[in-house]
Amino acid sequence: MMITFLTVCTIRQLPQALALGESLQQHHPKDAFIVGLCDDLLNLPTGFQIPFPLVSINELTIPDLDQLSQQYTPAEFVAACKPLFIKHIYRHRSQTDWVIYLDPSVYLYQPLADLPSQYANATLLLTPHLLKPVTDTAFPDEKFLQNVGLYSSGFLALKRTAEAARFLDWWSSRVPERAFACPCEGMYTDQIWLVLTPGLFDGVVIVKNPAWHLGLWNLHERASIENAPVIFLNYKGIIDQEGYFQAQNRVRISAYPAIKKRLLAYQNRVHYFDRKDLSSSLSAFIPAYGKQAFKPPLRGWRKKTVEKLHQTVKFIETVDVPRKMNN
Amino acid sequence: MTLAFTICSINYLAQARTLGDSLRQTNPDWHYVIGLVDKLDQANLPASLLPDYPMLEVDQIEIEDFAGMCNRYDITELNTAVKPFYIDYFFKHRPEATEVIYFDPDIIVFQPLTRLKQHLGEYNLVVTPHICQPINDWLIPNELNHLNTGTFNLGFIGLQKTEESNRFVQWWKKRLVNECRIDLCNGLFVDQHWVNFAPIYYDKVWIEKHPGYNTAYWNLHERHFSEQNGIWKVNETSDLQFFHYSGYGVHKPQEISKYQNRFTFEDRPDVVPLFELYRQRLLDNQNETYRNYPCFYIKPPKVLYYQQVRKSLKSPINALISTLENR
Repeated sequence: MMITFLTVCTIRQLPQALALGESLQQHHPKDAFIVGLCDDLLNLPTGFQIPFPLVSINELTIPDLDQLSQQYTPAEFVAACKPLFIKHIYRHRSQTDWVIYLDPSVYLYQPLADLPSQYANATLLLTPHLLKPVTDTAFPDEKFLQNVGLYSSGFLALKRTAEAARFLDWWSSRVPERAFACPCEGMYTDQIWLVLTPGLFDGVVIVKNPAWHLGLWNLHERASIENAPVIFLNYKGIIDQEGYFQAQNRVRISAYPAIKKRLLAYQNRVHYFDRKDLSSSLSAFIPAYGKQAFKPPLRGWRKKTVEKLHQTVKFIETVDVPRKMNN
Repeated sequence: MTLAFTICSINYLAQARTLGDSLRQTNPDWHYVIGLVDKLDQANLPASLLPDYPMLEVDQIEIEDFAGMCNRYDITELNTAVKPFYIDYFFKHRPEATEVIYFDPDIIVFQPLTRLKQHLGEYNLVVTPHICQPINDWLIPNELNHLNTGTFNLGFIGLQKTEESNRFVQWWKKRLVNECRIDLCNGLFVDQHWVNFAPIYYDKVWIEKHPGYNTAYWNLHERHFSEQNGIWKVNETSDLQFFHYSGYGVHKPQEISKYQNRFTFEDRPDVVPLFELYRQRLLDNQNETYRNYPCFYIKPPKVLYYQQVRKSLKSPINALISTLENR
């Protein structure tokens, strides 16, 4: 069985992508890893060498690239192009049995050993953000997940089947123009679309192995027991300001010593790749595409105050005040 | 014993009776109950209007905060919010009911539901996706609308009485006490959006893609109807199991549904006889009389006085909100 792993990233995420590549080389030495660069190739520092095959956005020939760049934030722009990268690589690596997308911020700790046995009849594997109902009142709650999507698009595994190809055609035709983070319109990057896939495509499997895809959004249900197994962990929002959970207030990394230890080791690797043989650090590069300014979500006292004020406005709007009777 | 039930107010009893008649004809050994969100002793129905099916009034099923729910919800929200409470009641008080199946009142069952019964022997839940094939236009409802309002249509759900199903029902109940609202920007759409979580949180959830299930305006793009020797077929090959006449009204017989703008009866002559049949059955079941009964639990709309005062109170608060948001 052959797997092609791929990630899609900007230049500033390359150190993460290289750390991911290192973990894949360790646990999947026979499988390929490709980096999709969703950034301007010309901005790469001279002399920068990457030990993995690289596909740049220029090879995808996106006709309305400028328009997309104008209308999106950097994160939305990457999300808009991601399905096109996956489709491109799925097509060009026709000899592989599985194509697996991983966020650059993922690090693999064990091989995906279940893949050939447990998911032999699958076409598409999805990892839910949560596997269990939320029992507290912290953020994000389940409503918020409904808005951003229940399945994380930080991982996607596609078995080489006609059905997986049909999924890619559908996804890559919907997302590029509709990758806005705009829940009122039913949109949320490339991710929310995955919610429809169990209905639309056959062989969509919801992976319920708690060791797959730990992240800021689920450590409370995955990492609270000591020695909880970890196959792969996504450091999105932990090591950077990416992702949709910047305002989360459920999880503190320090409460999970085993995760904290992994994080420190991971930070070292990322730091190493960030400056390796380079005069300037990669993580300082501004993405070339996605011209709209990203507005970080409110957090802390500011968030609480705004929520309270909204409630007050709602009260003023709806409170029943009987009209003065004129007798 | 299989227990099928619906939920409605008195104004929809023609629909509930039509559903009951169809079940009696096609699945005579099933027990059918009408969950009534209304008060019979207040309505004083003449004997001629009492359905031939047992009715279970909502104030009899031990909903803890029913008064609060009546305050919070409008008629649609309230009628959908009580769904898991009825299921819970049947699980507790009708021990002989090994399967509980909910149908919206505006459904007709066309066949013995043997396939469903079989699946309910094997699975905890059976749900039907709105769409099993992509929709390639942006008329209403489109894929974004389904992303906003829920993948599965909750005009139907089948449950085998198991511990796992009960866990699902308890979770669903808890959510619907306060959050069975329509608020798309905040991830809410009555009882339905929540059920996106069902196949993730709970095991053995069967996602039914048989084209004869829950056919309605939202899946006409993938389903075509024909009558062969008195049996209705979908896409030539599958028997029509049940048709959901959502958004159809006897008084707008030229419209397939008030919730859609994709199809007309001119485009889809294949469905015309199915709707004519339904219209006739509703009229025969005294739709014209029932529809005039107001629901006991629905309060008259509030008239909000002092709009000018409200406005001047709100405006400084809104200014503060926008300052905080745009820091």
